[in-house]
Amino acid sequence: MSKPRIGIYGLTSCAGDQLVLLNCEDELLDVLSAVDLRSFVMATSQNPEGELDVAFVEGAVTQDSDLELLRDVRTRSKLLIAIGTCAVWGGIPYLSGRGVPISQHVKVDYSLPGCPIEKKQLLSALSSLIHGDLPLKLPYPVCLECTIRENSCLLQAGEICCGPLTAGGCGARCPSHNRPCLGCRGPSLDPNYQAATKILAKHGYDVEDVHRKLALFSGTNSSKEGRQVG
Amino acid sequence: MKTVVLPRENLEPFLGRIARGHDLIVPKKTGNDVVFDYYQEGCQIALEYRRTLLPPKKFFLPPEEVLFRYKKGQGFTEPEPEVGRRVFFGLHPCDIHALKRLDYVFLEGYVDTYYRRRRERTLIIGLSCLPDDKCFCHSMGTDLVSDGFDLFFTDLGEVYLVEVGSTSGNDLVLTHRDLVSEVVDEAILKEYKTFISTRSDLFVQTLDTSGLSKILTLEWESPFWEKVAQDCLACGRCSMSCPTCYCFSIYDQVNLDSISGERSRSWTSCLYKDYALVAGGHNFRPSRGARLRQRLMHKHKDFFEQQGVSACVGCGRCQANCPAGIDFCQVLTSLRGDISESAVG
Repeated sequence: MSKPRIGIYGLTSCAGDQLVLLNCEDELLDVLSAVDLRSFVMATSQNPEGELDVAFVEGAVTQDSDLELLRDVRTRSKLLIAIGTCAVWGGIPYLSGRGVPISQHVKVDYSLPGCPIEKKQLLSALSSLIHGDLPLKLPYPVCLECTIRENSCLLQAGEICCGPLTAGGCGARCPSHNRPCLGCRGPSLDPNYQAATKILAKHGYDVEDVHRKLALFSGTNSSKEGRQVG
Repeated sequence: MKTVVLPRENLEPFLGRIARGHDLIVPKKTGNDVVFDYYQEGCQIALEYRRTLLPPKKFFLPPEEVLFRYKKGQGFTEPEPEVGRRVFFGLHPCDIHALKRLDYVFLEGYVDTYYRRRRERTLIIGLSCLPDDKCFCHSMGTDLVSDGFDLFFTDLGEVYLVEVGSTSGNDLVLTHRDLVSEVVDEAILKEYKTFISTRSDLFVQTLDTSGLSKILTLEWESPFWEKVAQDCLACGRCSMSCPTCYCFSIYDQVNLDSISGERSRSWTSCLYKDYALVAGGHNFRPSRGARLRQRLMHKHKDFFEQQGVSACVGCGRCQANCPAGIDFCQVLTSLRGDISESAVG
């Protein structure tokens, strides 16, 4: 079996998701020996480009050059994977009113959200792709891992915690340090914005404040669903 | 059943000695919470706790575990089984009943060896409790326990009345006979009777279970489910904290070398959208209401029809931990028509 040809690209973003791969220090040699790396501008100046089996794209589309690169990569790739919340949901660039998730322009075969993405999920996604499978999806909200860690519920305590609306997989990192979830991984599979807004309204929060908080990372999704309440 | 008496001041030495020969699990104080955790010298044991967030099941069906690893040409290897005797101290009657429910699932018919190994190496020491406003074990018939433990401690103030429930429990008592007294006198008997009747007067929450499984069957199509589900975040906190929710996902993860990997399982909840999703993209329970209905149906109807008892043991964790404040007792009572539906949520 020939090694899969991989390309890693960044659009408008902080490059933090690409950095997660570079930070996989113990596994980096194994990764590099298992793939044919055709493009990774952040790591090397030797980028032969050409046809790809899998392209990983970080960042939101905010400008013409983003769109140009994205379309070019899509044309050359069998699979395109969105990495990071900006690419998956629009993330922070969405707040500027110009950034959109890459799925608004091209077909995305798999999404790996996170701000930044989790190393463990990146490596497991890479392993699956090298093997010829699509990676597993994590269908649960942050609350699953939060409850398993036996954290007290911050939402119950009256904080604006986005955990029940947010895709899990981070090990409930923030609530485990007694900080409410900011929703940086973007919406879960089944976010009930109306229920969350109702709970927070009972705790005395202004609906607009809640919407602003929920919209910080979830881009297109929260504005569509969250605004129905009010 | 053999009954002995352990003076209160002897409890700590008793547990301390047990900890020397066993892995001892206790209800441990951590900040404002109480969690079941391994005993360490000097740790604060919560003797009068109300309920833990996670139930005892985490020590028998861990939230996540590797079932086996594989490598091309080398077959499958199971993880080294944990060995050594464990003693699990401080389970309330509801949690002991819950373990018995899990035994139906994991030990009857198809035996789950991972669960069985952990169950077999664990002695159970129960501990009496007093209810708060969320406990409804007396409605579920799980407020007292007559089996499923090796020892059961009833707190009578100056002393614990210790019921011996098995030969292993008897061995523990005999090994530490210098700490216990075999004399159960009239005064202690009186204290015990007072405790039982005082405790039963303290319950606030109730659930009328008469004909509940039949009512649930008849209310399958009720629009009420979707109405309640409007408030449900489907966060799964009720399932994780439920002592008898046992659903797990199984998944394979290949390693970077493409020739080795592992199969694992981890807790999941029927409230999650992908739970009833099957190959081809069909979802048997696409709506949140259908999933909420499933959770209550399985707990109070399906399990009841299969095993003759409800899977719910009335511990109150689901209500205590729901961020939306959904009270399943109230939901079920409302469904019976005993209270106004608008009272829910």
